[in-house]
Amino acid sequence: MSDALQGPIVRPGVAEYAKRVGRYLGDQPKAVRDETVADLANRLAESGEKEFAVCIEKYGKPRAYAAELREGMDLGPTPPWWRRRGTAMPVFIAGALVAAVIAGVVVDRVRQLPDDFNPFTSGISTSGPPDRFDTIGSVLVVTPGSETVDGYFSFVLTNSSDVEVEVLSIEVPFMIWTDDGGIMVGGFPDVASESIAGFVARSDELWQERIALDPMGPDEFRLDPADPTHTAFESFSLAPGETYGVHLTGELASCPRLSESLGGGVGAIRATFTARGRQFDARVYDLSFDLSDCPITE
Amino acid sequence: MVPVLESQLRKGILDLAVLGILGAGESYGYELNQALADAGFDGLGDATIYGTMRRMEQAGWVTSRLVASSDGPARKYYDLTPDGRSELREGQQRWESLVTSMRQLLKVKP
Repeated sequence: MSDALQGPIVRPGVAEYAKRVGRYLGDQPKAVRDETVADLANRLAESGEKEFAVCIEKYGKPRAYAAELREGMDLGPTPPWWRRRGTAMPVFIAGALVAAVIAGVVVDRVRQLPDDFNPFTSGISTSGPPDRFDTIGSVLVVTPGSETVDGYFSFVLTNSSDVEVEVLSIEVPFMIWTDDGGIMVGGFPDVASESIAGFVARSDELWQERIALDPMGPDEFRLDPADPTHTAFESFSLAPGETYGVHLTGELASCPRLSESLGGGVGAIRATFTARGRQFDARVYDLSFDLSDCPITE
Repeated sequence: MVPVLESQLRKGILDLAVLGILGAGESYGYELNQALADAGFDGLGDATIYGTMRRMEQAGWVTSRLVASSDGPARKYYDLTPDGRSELREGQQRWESLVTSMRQLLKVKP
């Protein structure tokens, strides 16, 4: 039997907080990043922290904590997402591509909405983009956490508008709703894994809301179709096997085989959004891209 | 609220302050934060202090070890290495020199 001293018990919420902080150390060697994440989790636990929400309250958002941490460690500012490591790149890129497709479709649909619901034409003014995003693009799909959730995808991408987008695609009910202020947001509540993803057309408030709900237990964010603030206003579908345009940008554009496998920038991505009244199922599956010559593939 | 100048000054001498605290004996995270707060560094966030500790550890100035605690799980204690003690001594000299210079400068009437 080992008589080694045991450190504090790190609860999942605290480990998650440390892990998210670690995302902003992605430009550091993996050993440094992993050690820092583990050490930070222990430090927070040693300080008596047990819950993610409490960590947010006491230490701020992981991004903010990471920014200070980087300053303390003399690491310079947080690098953009494509300079960070720690994400399974094939999954990352494949997911990003699907997200780009979905985002594009969603945006097109959003642009066709009646003015009352259309954030592009309704004159809704917001004070700025959500935290972590320099600009508000067509669609932001956000996720609170894991890089992969139950085998599905979550990732960050820069879409054709150079907007940083985080995406989580999951096989769960999908809804679009407006909040009381008329700002459109959307979401993929994932009850099973206690996480959520959604897209934001225009809002600087959703992020706060998401953080406030985070980590979201099943009861905290279950959407109620009967709730007038959860107004589904559009339905659309992506047919399996249908061809959608994919516009490769940035470093993705420098992956010739990826472009070829997508037919020169246009690929067949099987994805479905099945309208079901005011509720949708979202599925993304069978992703296969040739990333072998992609310079950003780890 | 801590004035900006004071805040920046404290931030600039955080390394030396941490070295000074550890120079008096090993300490753990919360205790270090408290000691810094008591010395007027309360405007600094945990992340800044923690980042400083990580950097010092990586630089070889500080070492750490788990120490049993009577009221819970083991705590991570930080202590100075020989290099850290050397850095502390040099820092003390630089600080004394700086204080002397500043005293001279601040005697000048505008």
